[in-house]
Amino acid sequence: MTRETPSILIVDDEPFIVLGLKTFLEDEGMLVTGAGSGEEALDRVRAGGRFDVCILDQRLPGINGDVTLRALHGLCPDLRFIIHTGDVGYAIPNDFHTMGIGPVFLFKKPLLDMQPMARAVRTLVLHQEVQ
Amino acid sequence: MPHLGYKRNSLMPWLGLALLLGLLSIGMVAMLDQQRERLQEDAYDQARDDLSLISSYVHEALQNGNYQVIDSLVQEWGTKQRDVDEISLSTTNGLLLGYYQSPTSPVETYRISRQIPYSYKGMATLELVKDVDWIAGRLARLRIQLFSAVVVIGAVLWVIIWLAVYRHSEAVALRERTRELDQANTRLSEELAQRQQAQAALRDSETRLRSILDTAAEGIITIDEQGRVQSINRAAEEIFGYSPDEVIGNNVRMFMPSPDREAHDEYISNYLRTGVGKIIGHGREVTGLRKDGSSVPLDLSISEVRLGNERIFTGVVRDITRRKQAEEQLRRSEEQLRLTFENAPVGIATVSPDGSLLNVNPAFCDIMGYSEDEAQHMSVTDFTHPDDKELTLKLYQQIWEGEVGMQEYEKRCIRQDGLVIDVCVHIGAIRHTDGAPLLFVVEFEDITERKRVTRELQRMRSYLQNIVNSMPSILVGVDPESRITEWNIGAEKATGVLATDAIGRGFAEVLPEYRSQMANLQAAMTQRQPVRADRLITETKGQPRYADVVVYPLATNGSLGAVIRIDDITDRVRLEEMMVQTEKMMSVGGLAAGMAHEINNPLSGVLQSCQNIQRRLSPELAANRRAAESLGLDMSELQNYLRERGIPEFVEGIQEAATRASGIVADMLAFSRRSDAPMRPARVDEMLDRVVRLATSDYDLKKKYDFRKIAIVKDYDAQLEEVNCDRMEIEQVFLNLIKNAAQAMFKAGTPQPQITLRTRLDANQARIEVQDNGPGMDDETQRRIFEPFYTTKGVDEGTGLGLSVSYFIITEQHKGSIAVFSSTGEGSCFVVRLPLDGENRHDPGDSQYTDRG
Repeated sequence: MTRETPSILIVDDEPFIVLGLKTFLEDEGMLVTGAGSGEEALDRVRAGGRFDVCILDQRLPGINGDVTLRALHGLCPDLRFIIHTGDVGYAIPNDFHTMGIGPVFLFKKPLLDMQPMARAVRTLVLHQEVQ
Repeated sequence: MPHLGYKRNSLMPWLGLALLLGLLSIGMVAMLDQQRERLQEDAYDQARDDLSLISSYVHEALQNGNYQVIDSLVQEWGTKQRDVDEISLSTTNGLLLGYYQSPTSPVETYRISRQIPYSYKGMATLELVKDVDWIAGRLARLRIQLFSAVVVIGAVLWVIIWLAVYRHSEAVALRERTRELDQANTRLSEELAQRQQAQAALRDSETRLRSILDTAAEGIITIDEQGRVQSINRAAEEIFGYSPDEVIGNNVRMFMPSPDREAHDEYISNYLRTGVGKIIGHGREVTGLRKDGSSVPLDLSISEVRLGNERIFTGVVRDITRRKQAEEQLRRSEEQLRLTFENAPVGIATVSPDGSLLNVNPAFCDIMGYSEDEAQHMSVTDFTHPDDKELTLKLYQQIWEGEVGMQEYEKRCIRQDGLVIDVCVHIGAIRHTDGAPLLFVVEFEDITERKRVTRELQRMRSYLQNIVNSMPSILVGVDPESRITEWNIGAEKATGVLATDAIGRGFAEVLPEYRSQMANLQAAMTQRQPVRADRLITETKGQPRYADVVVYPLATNGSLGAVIRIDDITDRVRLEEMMVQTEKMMSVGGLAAGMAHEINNPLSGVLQSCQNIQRRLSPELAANRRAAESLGLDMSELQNYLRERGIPEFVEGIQEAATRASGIVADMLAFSRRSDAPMRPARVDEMLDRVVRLATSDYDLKKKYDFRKIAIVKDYDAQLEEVNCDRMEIEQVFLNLIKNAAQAMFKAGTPQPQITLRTRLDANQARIEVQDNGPGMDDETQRRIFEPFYTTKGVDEGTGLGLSVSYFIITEQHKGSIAVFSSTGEGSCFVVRLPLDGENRHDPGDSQYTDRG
């Protein structure tokens, strides 16, 4: 939870994708937690989990990504989001801004290179610190 | 007569005389008045002289106051004086100094007085009364003298005037008389001359008459009251064939056939009794009997002559045999002409030079609907259609002037009932022998029905021709020998052979590509059933063309033939192919959308894993070194081992394969994607420039070719500015085209590779051309180039979806068009057309954070 090691929550129903991202970001020196669904992610936060950035899939079993995002934002307004989806038609809903949700990055699957996402995470962490 | 004039004239001198005398009397009275005044003035002067005389006579006595003397002086002076009636001298106080009174007592006096000085004491009054009776006496004398003079002058004047008037009247009467005598004299001599002439003429005519009678062309016979022939002239002898001896004295009925012969005596007695004759005074045609018994037509006129109590009748006969014959001939020929005119099946009219109708026949009346009477009051132009009047008049004029001979022409006429009819007109002029025109003969034939039928036929024919020609099909009519009889415009267009060149030639000769249909042609004609051949493939200029051919047998007027209909359905076939292709692409799109997500997840895992493997094998990562160290593994040894066994290549291979798969999925997704980005105006030149920059720095391109070696030629139309489009998509299309061009040129080793980017403002469209000078492509490639997964590139060079996606973006998303023009070895040119004001798509919202990666 120290500022030096950003804490990341990855929500994706594909464990292999969670593993791949987790591995890469951990190698980047970040603390990474994985969750298989929106409900699980919410449980972790409610259980006292503290995260700087949440990497969120859209198509999830149970509640979908957007619903999860709004719920997480409600629990933890400082949390920043990266949406990572394979849905080509997805666009960030307008209400995210009006709700006061901070900047949200959108990445589409598959990532040919994970480095840009890692940079985006750092940017968001930095942004959070500034605030 | 002269008497009367004479008497009237005699009044004139008397009147003149009376007038003259009147004037004289007036003059005389005036003269008397004047005379009296002069005499009175004389008397007055005399009285004043007398007064002066007496005053000087008594002056001295008065001065001396010698009164006794004064009275005697007055008396003395008074007695010496004539004409003095009274003198009195008295003082102012009434003292009478002297007084004289004459013994006479005159009728008329004149009194005059004067004051004269008296002694020293004052004035005395001297009064004188003059006797002026002498004046009246002088005047009376004068009156008598004047009257006498007037009487004398009047008498003299009367005589003179009377003489003058009388003498003049006499002379006039004399002249009148002389003239009457002269006239009577002239009349007498004229009468004499006439009588002499008449006597001479009478003598002359008697001799002449005889010779005239004998030389007259007419026969002349005279008969008496009993009908006996008195004389017969030579012409009559010849007519009847008798000599005078045989005739004279015989009854004239010998010249007559029955029943006149028997009735003739009766005729004469009737006439003598009633004075009414059948022939006498009229003349008529009769039949005469010759001596030889034959009859002869005669023109007979009889006149009656009275000689004293006797009457004779003179008959003049003329042999009219020849005239009768001529008349008969004329009558017959006229009858024939009349019948011809009246029964002619065509309308005939004779027309005067001024265009008015003279005669018309019944057929004319039938055609025009006017009666003969009506027609005769009409002019040619009255029933000519207004549009044809000018032509008609001109033609009449030309014929009249002899410029042209008989003419035939067609015109329209208006019937009496208002109907417009077509007529065929023959017109000619009848001329005198000297060539001068006399009248027109005009023949009218009603050709309305004929014209209508002809028009109807023509209309029907052109209608059918239109139908045949407006068919896009090739329509060819052939006879049983397969020779072309009909060749429509469709056939002309398709083959470039004109109908005039095609008709008459063999079907297979003109259309060799359809030679295969000759069998069908025969079959259709023998079986009398249409024969079809669908999707017949022929080749024109190396291009396959498709056609549906139907052969319809024709049986007209017993002879066989056929119509061949050829429809070029190449375009339709192409369209069908295109639709199949589009459907294919659409189904790919639908499939892709569903697949994309499922494939992308595993691909994510694969790609992420590869990246992690590569990173975790790298000695550069501290964590790696720490892990190796704890295991006692030498990192550099490990690296050597991995290289030795080609592990990085395998991992890279996995990575590349997954990347390609990801690309395919992304491209496929393009088909299903309804772009959500709004259409915005974007500059075409800017988009092209940006794409060129992008291509120059494109990693994939750089890997295999050096894009900078390609000369980029920009030919932009300054007028073309912005098009409403999805910039990202259009740029993707341009990039595809440029990349394809570059790849094709590098692959073919084009010596001086060049890409021309050309823009044009074309009506309401933007035309963008991407042209290369590369190897070009064959027709097969051109046809399939936009097909999904169709590629000429190696497996590692592209997915085969780039142009399909471009095609989709341009035609579906932007309602534009994309086409390629190319031939092998001559480069290719892709032409993109975009509507300038592409429909604005629904804006789904802000997508500023969208990263299309």
